[in-house]
Amino acid sequence: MDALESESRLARREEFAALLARVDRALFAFVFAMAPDRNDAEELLQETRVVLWEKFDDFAPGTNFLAWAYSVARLEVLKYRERRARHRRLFSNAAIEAISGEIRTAGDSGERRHAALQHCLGKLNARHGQLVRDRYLSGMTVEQLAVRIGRSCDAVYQSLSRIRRELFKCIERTLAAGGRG
Amino acid sequence: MNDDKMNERELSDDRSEHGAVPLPEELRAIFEALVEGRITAQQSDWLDARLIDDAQVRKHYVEYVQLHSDLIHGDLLHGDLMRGDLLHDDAARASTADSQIPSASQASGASNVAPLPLPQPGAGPSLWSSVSKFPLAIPLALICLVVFGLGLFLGGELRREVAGKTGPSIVGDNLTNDNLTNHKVANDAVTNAELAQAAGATGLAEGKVAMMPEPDRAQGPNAAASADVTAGRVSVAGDLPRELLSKPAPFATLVAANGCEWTGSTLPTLAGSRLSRGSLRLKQGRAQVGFDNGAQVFLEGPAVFYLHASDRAHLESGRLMAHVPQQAIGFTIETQTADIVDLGTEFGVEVSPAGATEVQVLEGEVELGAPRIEDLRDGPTVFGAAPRQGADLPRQKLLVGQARRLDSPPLAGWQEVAFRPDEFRRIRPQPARDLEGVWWPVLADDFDDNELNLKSWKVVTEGIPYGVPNIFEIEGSLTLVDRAHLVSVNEFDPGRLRGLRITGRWTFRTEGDVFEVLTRSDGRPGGQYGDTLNGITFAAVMERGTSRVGILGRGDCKVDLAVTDLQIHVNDVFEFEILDVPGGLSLKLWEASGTGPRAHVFTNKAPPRMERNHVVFHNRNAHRVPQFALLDNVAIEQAIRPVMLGKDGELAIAPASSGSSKSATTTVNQKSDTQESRKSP
Repeated sequence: MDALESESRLARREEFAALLARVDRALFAFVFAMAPDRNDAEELLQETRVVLWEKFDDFAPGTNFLAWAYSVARLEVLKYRERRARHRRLFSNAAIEAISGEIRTAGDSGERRHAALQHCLGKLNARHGQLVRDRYLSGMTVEQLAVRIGRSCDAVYQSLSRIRRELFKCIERTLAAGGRG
Repeated sequence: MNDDKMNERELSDDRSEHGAVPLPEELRAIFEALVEGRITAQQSDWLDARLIDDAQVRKHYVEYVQLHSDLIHGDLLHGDLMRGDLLHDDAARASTADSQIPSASQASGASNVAPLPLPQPGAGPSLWSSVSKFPLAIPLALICLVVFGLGLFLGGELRREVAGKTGPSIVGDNLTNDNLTNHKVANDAVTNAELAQAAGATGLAEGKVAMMPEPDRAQGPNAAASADVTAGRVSVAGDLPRELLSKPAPFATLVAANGCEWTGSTLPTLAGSRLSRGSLRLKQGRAQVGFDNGAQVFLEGPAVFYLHASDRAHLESGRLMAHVPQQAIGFTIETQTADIVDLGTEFGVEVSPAGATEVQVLEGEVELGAPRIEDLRDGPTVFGAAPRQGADLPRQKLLVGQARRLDSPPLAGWQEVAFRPDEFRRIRPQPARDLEGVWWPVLADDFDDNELNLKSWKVVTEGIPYGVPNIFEIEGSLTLVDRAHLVSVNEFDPGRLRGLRITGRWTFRTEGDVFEVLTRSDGRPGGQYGDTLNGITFAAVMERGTSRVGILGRGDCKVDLAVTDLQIHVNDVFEFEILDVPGGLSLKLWEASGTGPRAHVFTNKAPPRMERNHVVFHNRNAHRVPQFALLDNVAIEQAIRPVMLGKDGELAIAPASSGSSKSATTTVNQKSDTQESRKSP
């Protein structure tokens, strides 16, 4: 009730917000790798954020927030799989654990790849850039995109696939060059 | 659109992998099928095995899907990031001070390449770099949530805090008179210090919101920044975080939330909020979710409920009743062991703590879906020792009056159980009942006389320091200008009258209008802003974004603050019902059409008896700009049967004895006759 206590609570929330901001994208990449469906992963990320906040008192200041967040997110993924047990699950638990381990030991590779992707996006021409935006930012389905640009769904898939291939190659190239320098 | 091949100039050639094993095209094709949802069972089986035993595949997989997740996460795509002519600008770009990332041409060919930097928080803006800005984006969003999550009652309080810091010229909002700051409010999070910080943070957060590129996302903050405050209760743990960045399209609405306490929901928990995919965790109370296809789900806490799509939801635990109209046939409630597919009906579902699913058909029929276990790789972890038992249950229809239970694990199939419709029907708000004999009008006015009835009302403008306060009866309703007070000539002591009900219709006509009704008031404006200084205020404060609805005490009339949020816009017409009865205070507001948002706040704390007991209506006054609001069809009624406010905020008939046996109370609906026009006495 007193101002001091409330101020400390507000400070606590700000502290959490700052920590979450730094790891949010990495967390999304983490859950997406284990549940590679946009809707599933977004739901999982939300659940994870809520649990992180609820358990924030368990987090030891000064320790690795991302590592802690990964462990919480992993449990959320497993809970989600349990809940959706009757639906087709893409990966086995063993594969899930393998993916989890891979990401948790990857260091700052994710951050570096993200920076490289940003660089590579700048190299797309306007048409491909628009396609990527429509697909990812606006969340249009391939069918909607097909109607919009007047091409078949397969053509849209192919375009997106090619764009991603080139982006991926560009990332690899950029990282290789950066690592060398 | 001549060709679809990658522009040769876009991404340059493919060279210099430098030690990294190139991603085989075959593997990439499988990843592509995966992220586009086109992967076959055979392919996913193969990939599953490779992910477990092949470290290189694992590495490739993680790297490739990160490309997708980074794009979905979205921060890269905002702003003018992708420009096809960038390659032509390489030279210019390389000379830019903050261009730290090597261009592709440099990277592919050159020897003097700078190391790839990691994003530096606080680094200066660059043409492409949203990375440096991004770390700020979430804190702002979160702070925005914090602000609304604090249970701030009124924008006015915020404004006053700002006013106190920026100078005296801003007229504070009337509602939060000085008493509020001294008042012991229910939500201990609200303090002046926080409000002051919140005021600053709101400004920042609004700036951020304004920068959001998509109109549909720009709507997000209302729902996203919703406070976890319902019916006067504040869920402390659940106030953060809400939707932050990616906001899927909503497909349902939280129609009502009565007496709800929420914990850790990912969706907004305010009545009127739009809902997308996510979870609702109801600790107690009753909530109504309206799906856009027409299905209505009534939840009873404790319950954990996931919304998947406009025709599909998942009950993890707890009890619900679903009402599904014709156009929404096929609406499916899934549980961990079963699918319940609606065939045009009303049905109840309960999931026990042990995971057993029970289905009761109250009307029409449903189809019980055969449990599917399409992936048995992890079989024993799903259904214990007998993973395949559930897979072969045939689909079956269940008719009205029938009830079945499926245990978890579902070894014994669907078992017949007792039909107990009342336990499910009660979740839904009771349909209107005849209330004749409960309420007796003591003052009713439809304001159709073009002249205010001065036997019933007096207009008070003295003591109001701002604006040109006045009240006109014109064109069939009452126009309240600025903070002019409409005060009942007679007094209506809720204690002596065994309960008071005030109903009517209020139209918000100008930006920032305040609906304000008082009971137990002396009807005398005073103080810095010309507020009535005593009584209980029932109020709705229109704000851009989320408006506040609440109940609070004035002066000596201490009651706990109750508050919730509601969307209110200029020209919105709301019906209201105010109860000042034994056992508590209640305010309901609902859009006159009956289809729009509604709010209900209540408190079970009884206010003290007051010396004066006038009923007062007034609007607010802004600085310089006149405020107009319309009041119509007012009825003040007294209870002539013993009533009380139940713990759920609904009116109930009080037990015959003075004891408070819960089982003897009956919930009744109070709205049945509010639409009728009433004549002046």
